[in-house]
Amino acid sequence: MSAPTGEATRAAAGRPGSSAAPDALAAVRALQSGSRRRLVTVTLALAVALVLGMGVRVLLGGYTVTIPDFLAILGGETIPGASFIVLQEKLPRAVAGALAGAGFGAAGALFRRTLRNPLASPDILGVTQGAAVAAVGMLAFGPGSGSGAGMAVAALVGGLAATAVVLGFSTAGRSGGRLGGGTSAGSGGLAGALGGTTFIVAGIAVATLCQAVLSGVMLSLNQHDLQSAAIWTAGSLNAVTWERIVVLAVLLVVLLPAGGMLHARLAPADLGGELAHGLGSRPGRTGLGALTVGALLAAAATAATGPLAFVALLSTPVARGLTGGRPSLPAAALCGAVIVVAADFLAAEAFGGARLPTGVLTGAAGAPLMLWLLVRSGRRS
Amino acid sequence: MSAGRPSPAPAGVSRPPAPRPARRRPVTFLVAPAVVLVLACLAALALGARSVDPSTTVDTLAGLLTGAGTAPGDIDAAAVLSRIPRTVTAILVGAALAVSGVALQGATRNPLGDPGLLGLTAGASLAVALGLGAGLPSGLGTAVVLAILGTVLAAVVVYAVASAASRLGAGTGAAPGPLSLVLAGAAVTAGCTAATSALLILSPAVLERFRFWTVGSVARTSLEDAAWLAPVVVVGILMVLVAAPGLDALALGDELAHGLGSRPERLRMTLLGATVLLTAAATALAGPVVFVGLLVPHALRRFRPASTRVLVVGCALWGAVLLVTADLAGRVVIAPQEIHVGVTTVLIGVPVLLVLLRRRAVSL
Repeated sequence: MSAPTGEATRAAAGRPGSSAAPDALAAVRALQSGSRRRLVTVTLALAVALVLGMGVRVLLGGYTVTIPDFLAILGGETIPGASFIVLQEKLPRAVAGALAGAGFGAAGALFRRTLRNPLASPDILGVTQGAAVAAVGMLAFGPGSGSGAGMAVAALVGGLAATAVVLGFSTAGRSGGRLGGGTSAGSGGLAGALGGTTFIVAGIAVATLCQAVLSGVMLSLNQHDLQSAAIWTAGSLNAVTWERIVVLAVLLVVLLPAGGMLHARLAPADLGGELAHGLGSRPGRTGLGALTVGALLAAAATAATGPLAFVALLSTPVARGLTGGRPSLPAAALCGAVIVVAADFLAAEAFGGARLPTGVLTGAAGAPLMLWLLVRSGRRS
Repeated sequence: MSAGRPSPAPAGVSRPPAPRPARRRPVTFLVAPAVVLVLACLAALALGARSVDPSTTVDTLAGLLTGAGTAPGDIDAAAVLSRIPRTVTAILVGAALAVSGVALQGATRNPLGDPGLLGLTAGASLAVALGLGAGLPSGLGTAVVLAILGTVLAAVVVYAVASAASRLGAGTGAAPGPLSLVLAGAAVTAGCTAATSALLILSPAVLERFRFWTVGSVARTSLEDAAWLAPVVVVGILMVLVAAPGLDALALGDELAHGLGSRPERLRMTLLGATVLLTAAATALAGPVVFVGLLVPHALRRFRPASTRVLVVGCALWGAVLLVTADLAGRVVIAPQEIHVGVTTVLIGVPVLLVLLRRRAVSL
């Protein structure tokens, strides 16, 4: 019974629904009284890494700025050339990257914990694509095209709508017909759907649909709109403005604490639907809330930077690896932020004169990692 | 498997509620689609941004067939003639993709087998873009070879990853589960798409030649291209037809199939080879067109084909009908602009997949 706490948590998380009673007891103990030291250390280290990364992003690269100059610019002094580049180009990119990365990372953590599948994340399940379709539609057909708030609202609606469609098609019809073989949660209804595999396939279908609509809409845009839409849909920090950053920051201030709370309340769900229910939690309801907040987070980040592929998917496993298997929303959010800031720096500087959209880099680098995750998830279960 | 008995439902496809006698159905699979296909082709030739009345369309076609030709300056006849290549392409691509769906679903025992969903089309696209980026000549021959290479690579990666993920997970032998296959396919698609856009952004010359390849469309092919690839499509469909009777045995699992006297490994290789040929040919002609391979076989299985061969023929015909009408709809709805077939098929296919999931017609 006195198993090492980290191990027990990992065992319980890896085998939802099938854990034997002693395992589960140890896991609950671990959740209640586990050592927090490693978690705190890792979170602090990630925060330091984020600050360093943002520093590198702002100060180094094709146009270097010295630290005294940077401080002077922040203090309000105007240095010809440098002021403009720092305030309109480097600093917004660093800040937006960090904020959007945090949004994607937190969204990924919420989805992963609710759906109990390491590969279930908003960018696989169509949430970011739904947000992107709505935002591009706003860009193309809406009034005051390209305004930060308008695009953000459209993206939030789109992301929520995509989630609702996926959820609607994976909950209904459960009672009749044959049961899905892969559903691990014993309880039916909402909690069962959240743990089921139908959710994931429906999500992939919706993601494909949104991608196709996006391509169709983009081919019918005029040249000017196409240019901005193409860069934005690839996932890019090029078009970031302070206006968009303020919108995103306000949304994150509201959503992140809510997400953190729901994430913590979902802890018993790691044990599987039945056990969690027995422990007095309501995995269905809490999970629905967590998915909603997660979808909003991902959509808010998408509105600012476009759908940055794989950030939400990868930040959670990376964070869990660092914390020794302990799920943590702040760690995942920080991981996402570090990934985006680093990817943005690489995309802008590593390819000579050409500047890739950041999303292209995360997409190309993320796919092999996702395949590896897939193999690993089979090994563990 | 004698053709006289109703074939067992393939893996993962639930029987319709009321079993119907199987022998009544050759109409659904052969006659009806053939008639509908002819009508759809006539409509596709006649309608569009400039609509032509049916008699002129038939006259033009007759003139073409008898070698009489058309009067120069006849704009209606010119409009009809200009629509011939895309209609022929749509027939080829639709038939190829629908049959590749049957083959893929049988070979992987996976109800969600679709070349697009499993990442094969994205692999083909990336390979063609890479070839153009490396400065290879942009002819159709190179495109086909590159598309085949890309499809094979994507198939190997997806299959290997998915079976590695399922082997220890479910303990069901070597066949990877549908969920792992779809997830691996999603990852490969995302990675290939990102790599393709990186290439297009880094090299503007490639972008110019490749721009419209990112969305599937039959609008940019020539009759020569279609004629060049028609034999490949026919060979692929014939391969599936030859292997078709074995599909029923394969659906029972490798061990049982072995016991029934078929050779599962060889059968699977034939089917996968045919899938690769068909997908690569379709992608080389029209770019990424997805969900046809999922949609058509699932819809037709509801009508309980008398044998798998009948199902394959029905899929080829109905797939052609689907693509011709999808192309026609895309041209008519927002004329004079177009919705490309790549978008239309997804718009039709995703709702159908969602309904299938909801009805639990596809078990995971």
